[in-house]
Amino acid sequence: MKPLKNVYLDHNASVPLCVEAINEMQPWLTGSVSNPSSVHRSGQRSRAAVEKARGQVAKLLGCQPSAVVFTSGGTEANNMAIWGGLGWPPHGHLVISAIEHPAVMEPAVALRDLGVEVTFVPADNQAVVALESVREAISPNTRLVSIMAANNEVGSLQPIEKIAAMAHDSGALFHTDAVQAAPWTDLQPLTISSDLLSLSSHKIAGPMGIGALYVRPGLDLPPFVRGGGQQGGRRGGTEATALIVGFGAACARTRAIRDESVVRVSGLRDRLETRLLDSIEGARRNGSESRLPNTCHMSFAHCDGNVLVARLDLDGVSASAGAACASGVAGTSPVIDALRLPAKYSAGSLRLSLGYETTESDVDRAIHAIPDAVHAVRESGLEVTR
Amino acid sequence: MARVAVAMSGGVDSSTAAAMLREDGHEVVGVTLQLWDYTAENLTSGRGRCCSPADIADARIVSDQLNIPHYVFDHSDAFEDHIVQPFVQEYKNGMTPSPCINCNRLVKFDILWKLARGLEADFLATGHYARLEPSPARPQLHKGIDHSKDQSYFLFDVPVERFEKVMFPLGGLAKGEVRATARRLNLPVADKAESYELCFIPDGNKDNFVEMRLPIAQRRNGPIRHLDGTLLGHHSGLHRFTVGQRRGLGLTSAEPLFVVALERGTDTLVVGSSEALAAKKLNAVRCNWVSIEAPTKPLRAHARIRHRHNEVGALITPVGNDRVCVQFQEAQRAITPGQGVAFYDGDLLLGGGWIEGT
Repeated sequence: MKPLKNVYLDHNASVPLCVEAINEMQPWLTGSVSNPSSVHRSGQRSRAAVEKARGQVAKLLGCQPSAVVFTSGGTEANNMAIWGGLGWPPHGHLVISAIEHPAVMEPAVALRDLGVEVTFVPADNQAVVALESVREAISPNTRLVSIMAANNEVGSLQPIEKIAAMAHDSGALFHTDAVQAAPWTDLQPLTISSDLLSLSSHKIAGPMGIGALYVRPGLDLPPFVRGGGQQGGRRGGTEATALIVGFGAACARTRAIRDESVVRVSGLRDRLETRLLDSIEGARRNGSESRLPNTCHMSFAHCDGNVLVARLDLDGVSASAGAACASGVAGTSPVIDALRLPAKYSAGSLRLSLGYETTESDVDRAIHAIPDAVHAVRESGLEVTR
Repeated sequence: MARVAVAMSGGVDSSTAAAMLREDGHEVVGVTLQLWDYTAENLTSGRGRCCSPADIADARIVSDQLNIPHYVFDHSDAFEDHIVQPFVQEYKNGMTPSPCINCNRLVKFDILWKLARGLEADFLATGHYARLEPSPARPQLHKGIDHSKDQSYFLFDVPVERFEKVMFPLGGLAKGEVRATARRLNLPVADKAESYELCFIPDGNKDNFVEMRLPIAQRRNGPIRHLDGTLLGHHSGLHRFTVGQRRGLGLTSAEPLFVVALERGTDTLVVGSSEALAAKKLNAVRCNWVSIEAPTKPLRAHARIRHRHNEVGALITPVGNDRVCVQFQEAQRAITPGQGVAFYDGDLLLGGGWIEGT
C-alpha cells in the first residue's frame, strides 16, 4: 500500500545520520569507553578521539581547535553565547533580530525579564534584517549583537559581515547562529567576522545531542553549564565521546562535498519551486533571492499548512509547515509574521528543505504529490483563519 | 480497504478503536486534536485534562505500536471560542450547559471531520459507544450495545449527513470487551483510568473554573425567593446553581428546598419543595433529526432529558420551525434549561433538541 520509499524534504529540521558518522561512532557506542578526562590508557583513547574531532570541527569553521567548545547542541550553544556574551552577571544592551530561532529569542526574552535592555530588530518582508535598523539599534551601551546567518524557516541569508562590522565599530561582541547555514555556506568568512558562532551536529548529518560554540581566541566567556571544569572550564560535563566523533566525521564530510552539493541541490530546488508555482494557483514563494540553496518556502492561499503536511506525509513526502520545534502550537511564527503575507496565505505555509542526498526523482515525486494535496486540503471545508 | 482517520485521545477507547480498524485491514491514520493551550498556563495545572501532553504522548506510543501515522492538530482557539466561552456564558445566564453535545457538533464532527477529509480519509472513526447502520434513506444511529456506556445522547445534534462518513468501532462492544481487546493487543493504555468529568475541568470543580473566567462584576447575584414569593435570602451568582440543586443555598427551613428555576431578567433563584420540581412537559428548540426526517405531526417516542436519565414515553409535537413540545407520560423531575433532550425509538436515536423551559 505504501508507495515507494519516503521522500525526505525536511533537512532544515534534521538531516539523516551519514554513514561516515555512523562508522566513526560505532566503536564508541559498543566498546568499553572511558571518560576522556581519565588518566589511564582507555581515557587517553577517548581524549584523543575528542580532540581529533575538535580539530575536524575547527577545520569546517576555519579556526584553531581550542576555539571550539562542544555543547549539547545548537540550542545550548546559542544560550551560552547570549548569556555569556553579556558577561556575568549579564548586563548591558543586547541586540537580536525579530526572526531569530527560539534558542536565541527565548534567552533574550528571559534576560529582558531580568532587566537587561534588549532590542529586537525587525526584518523586511523577505525575512532579511535591514542594516539601517541594526545601525539604529546599536548604542554605545550595546554589549552583544546576535543575528542568525540564515533563517531556518525561509532560508534568507543575512548580511552578517556588515552587521558584525557595525557591532565591532561600536565595541560590541557579535554572535551568529550558523546552525542552518552550516551545510550550505563557507563558514570561514562568518567565523572571521564573529566573536561567537553556533553549530549543530544533526543539521549536517551528524548525531543529535551535540553541537559547538566557536569562541574567538582571547575572549573570556563565562560558562553557561557549570560543572567539573571540562573544556578549559568553559563547559562543564563529561564530553560525549561517541557524539563528538560523529559530529567530527560529519564536519569532515561537509567540507568534502558541500560545494558540489550546493550547485546540484540549488538546481533541484529551483526546479521544484518553478514547477509548483506553475501548477498550483494561489501559490507564492517566500524569502529573499539570496537564500539557502536547499530551502523552498511557499505559501498557498486558503490552505491549512498543518493539514497539508500530514496529507503529504500519507503520500510519502516528509515536509514541514514551519519550524519543527513549534509543531503542535497554533499561531504563526515571528518569521511568517515578518513576511507580512496577505491574510489568505498566512496559514498555508509549506517548507521543503532538500539535502545532499536528495535526488531528481525525489523532487519529481514532490512535484507530483503537492498539487493534489493542496487541492484536497482546500476542498476539506476547514476554515483557515489565523 | 478504506483509509480511516481515527480520533485518538490517548485513552483506552479510541486506542482500541484504532487497533480494531487496523486488525480489520484498514489504512488507519491517527488524529489527535489538541484543544487546550498548554503554553498559557503551567503544565502541572493542565495535567489530566483531555488531550494533555501526557495523553498525546500515549496516543503517539499507541500509534507507533500499531505502526500507523499519527498527527496532532492544535485547535485550542476554536475550542475556547465554540465550547469554553459559551459554557461560561450559559452558566452566567442561569442555564446548565451541555458542552459535550456542542463539542460533537462543532469540533469532533466538524473540525475533525473536515481534517479527515483534508487527509482524504474515506471515514472518520471515533471511540464513541454508538452504532451506525447504513440505510438507503439516511444513516441509522443506534445506542451502543453496552447501555451503561452508551453515548448516543451526546450525538443528537450532529448533522446526519456527517454520519455517512463515520465509523464507531466500539458500538457493538461492552466496556469490558474493549479493555479485554486492548489487553489482548498489548496496548499500553489497556488499564488507563477513565475520566468522568468534563475534559476541560478535570478536578470537577465547575464553580471554580467558571469563576476564574467570570469577573465578580459580571456575576449575576440576586434574591432567593420561595415559589410563594417569600424572600429567603441572596445568592452570589446564578452560575453556581442548576435546577434540582439542594446544596449551596445556605438556607435553613423546615422542608428541604430545591432550586426550581433561575429567572434571568431579575436574576432570581426560585426555590421550592421537591414536588415543585416535577413537570409533565418541556419545550425544546433548535431541534436536529438524525435517523428520521423532521416529523410534521405528533410523534410517539421516548425522551431522555439528560445523560444517564432513563428515557420515558412522550408525545413529541412539532410547533413550528425546529421547535417541539414534549409531553411526558409521567412527570419528570428537574427538567433543566440548557440541557439537551434526545428522542429514541427503542435503541434508535431519532433526534433531539435543546431544553428551553417547561
